[in-house]
Amino acid sequence: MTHSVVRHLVFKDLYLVRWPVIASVVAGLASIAIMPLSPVLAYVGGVSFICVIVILNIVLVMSAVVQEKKDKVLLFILSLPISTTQYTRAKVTANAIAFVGSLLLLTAVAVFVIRVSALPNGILPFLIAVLGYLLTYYCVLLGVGLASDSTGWHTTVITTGNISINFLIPLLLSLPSVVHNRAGATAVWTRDIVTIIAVEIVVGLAALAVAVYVRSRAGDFV
Amino acid sequence: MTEPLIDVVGVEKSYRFFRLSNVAMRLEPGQILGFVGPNGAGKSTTIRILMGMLRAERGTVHVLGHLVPRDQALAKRDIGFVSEDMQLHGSATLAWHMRLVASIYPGWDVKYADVLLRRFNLHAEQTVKALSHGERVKAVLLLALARRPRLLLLDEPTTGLDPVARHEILAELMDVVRDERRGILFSSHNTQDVEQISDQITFIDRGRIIDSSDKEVFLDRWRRLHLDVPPGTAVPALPGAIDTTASGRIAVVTTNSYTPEIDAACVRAGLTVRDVQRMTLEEIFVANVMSNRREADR
Amino acid sequence: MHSDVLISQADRRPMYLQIMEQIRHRIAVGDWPPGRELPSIRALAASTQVSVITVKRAYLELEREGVIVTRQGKGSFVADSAGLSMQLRRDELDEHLTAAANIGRQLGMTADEIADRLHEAVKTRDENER
Repeated sequence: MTHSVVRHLVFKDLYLVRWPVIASVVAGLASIAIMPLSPVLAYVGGVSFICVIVILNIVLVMSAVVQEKKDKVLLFILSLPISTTQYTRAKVTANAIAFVGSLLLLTAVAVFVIRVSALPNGILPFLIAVLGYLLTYYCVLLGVGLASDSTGWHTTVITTGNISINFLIPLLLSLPSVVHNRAGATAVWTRDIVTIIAVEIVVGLAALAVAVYVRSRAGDFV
Repeated sequence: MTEPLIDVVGVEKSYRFFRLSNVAMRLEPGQILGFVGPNGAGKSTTIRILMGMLRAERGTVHVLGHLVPRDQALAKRDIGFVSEDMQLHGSATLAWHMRLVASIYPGWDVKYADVLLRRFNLHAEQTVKALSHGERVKAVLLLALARRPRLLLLDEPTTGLDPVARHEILAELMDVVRDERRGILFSSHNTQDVEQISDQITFIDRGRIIDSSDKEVFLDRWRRLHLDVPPGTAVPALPGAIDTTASGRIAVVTTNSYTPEIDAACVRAGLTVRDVQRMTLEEIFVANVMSNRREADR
Repeated sequence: MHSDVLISQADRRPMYLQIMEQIRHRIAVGDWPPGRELPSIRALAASTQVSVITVKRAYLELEREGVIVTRQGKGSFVADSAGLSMQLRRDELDEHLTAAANIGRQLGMTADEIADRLHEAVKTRDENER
């Protein structure tokens, strides 16, 4: 019975965040759509694309994880026949499906649009590196949302995450391989870019794993 | 011999300013246990330990035969938990929640759920956000009761409810023990409700169980004696006299071990027993807590 | 659902005594004739909204008084007339004693003095019977 309870909780969480997800996907698609139209719009589209992802990230973690805890809805969910570990698992699964699913969908569409349009394919490694960073940001925020009740910590992560993107982008753009290849017609996956992407994924997963571990060791859940 | 629904031994848990110490509790099938204590005494903490939401530092907790928190998922298959501060998802309707619970529990009784909707005067299509405090508590109770769980753990289920709602809820709770395999533990500081429907009563204060007994025994054991103390006489030492207030020629003795022999002892000491009053559970509760605190502070 | 018994919160007498009184009354007015089965303890507890333990106590006391008879595994039944008339006569005695107590108090007598007069009456009655 307990496995089906986890499944029910995942579906329940996905149902409850359906509007933010749909709105983000639509807004994301719109941002991608305007990118091929002109260099200015490419920039605008790119920036709004990143904003959409960040907003979805924050909304998902805050509403599904933090709010549930604060609002004592957690008490109701934990009254169901699941262990605290299964609760965490269901939360991460649902949240990840919603976020990563949207991110993957939008990434696929962006890659497709870049390939078929006049936009240079050379920009792809840069794009993936940025999205990888957003994924890391998501994992860290989700982890902190799970492991900590402190609004201070949540705000710190959100602020740091948002500000750091503004440093990340020029930093990536200044990498020699990006400078060299971004306007080109082929995507060149140099070692530095690939390393960066790999580090982003590892750090993200590690942060999440630590948070889940910390949460499951904590005997006190409410 | 049927196993108890709840079996707790030696539970300890510390917080910065509060300590739950040596908590033991036992609920047999077919019984209702009233768990009474002032605010902050540790009632909610104890109940959440039973639900595996908090982990005790010491002691063992068995609920429905399962070790908690290790096997809490198994135990919770047959436990209905209601807490006064519990919330549901605000943006969803009560009907949505009912469908969610029904899909998880095979024991969901659709007909009974409908009966409860009517009895509790709730509307399934109403959004949870729009419910008043009383309606929300009734909604959560409905979700717990309609599954017909073997054990109900209720943390202040009637607090903040109007008398009509309380009456309806007590009726449903009493209905549960028509089945002698089921049982209820409910915490409350509404001593009237506890006095009426509990079979067993446990008092808790400042993290310790200060008294636990059969309800009828409590009500039989405790008395207030109103005594006339003529000059030259004094109130003798009486068994179980936990509080004696004497002023001038009148004394009131509160005892927790009343027997008619006490009347005789007073008469022998030259006093007149003007009245021997039974005490309500509320009076017993307050006297018990006060006397325990005096002892502890000494 | 109507209940056979109704507990009053304003009545400060113990709940089990209220239950006993109401059951006796039901029997006395003929609603529950001898041999009739009483509601099960749990059913009465649920319909009255009084704890099971209190109803159990009431049934036990009523059985001790001979008003009802409990058969293991079968339930409780209103006792036949013999047991009943015992109870009715005991009730009659209590009424007389209460009346005597009232009169004694009105005369300003203490409980001991009233009791002494009762002892005298018993002694006299026994001597006359011999």
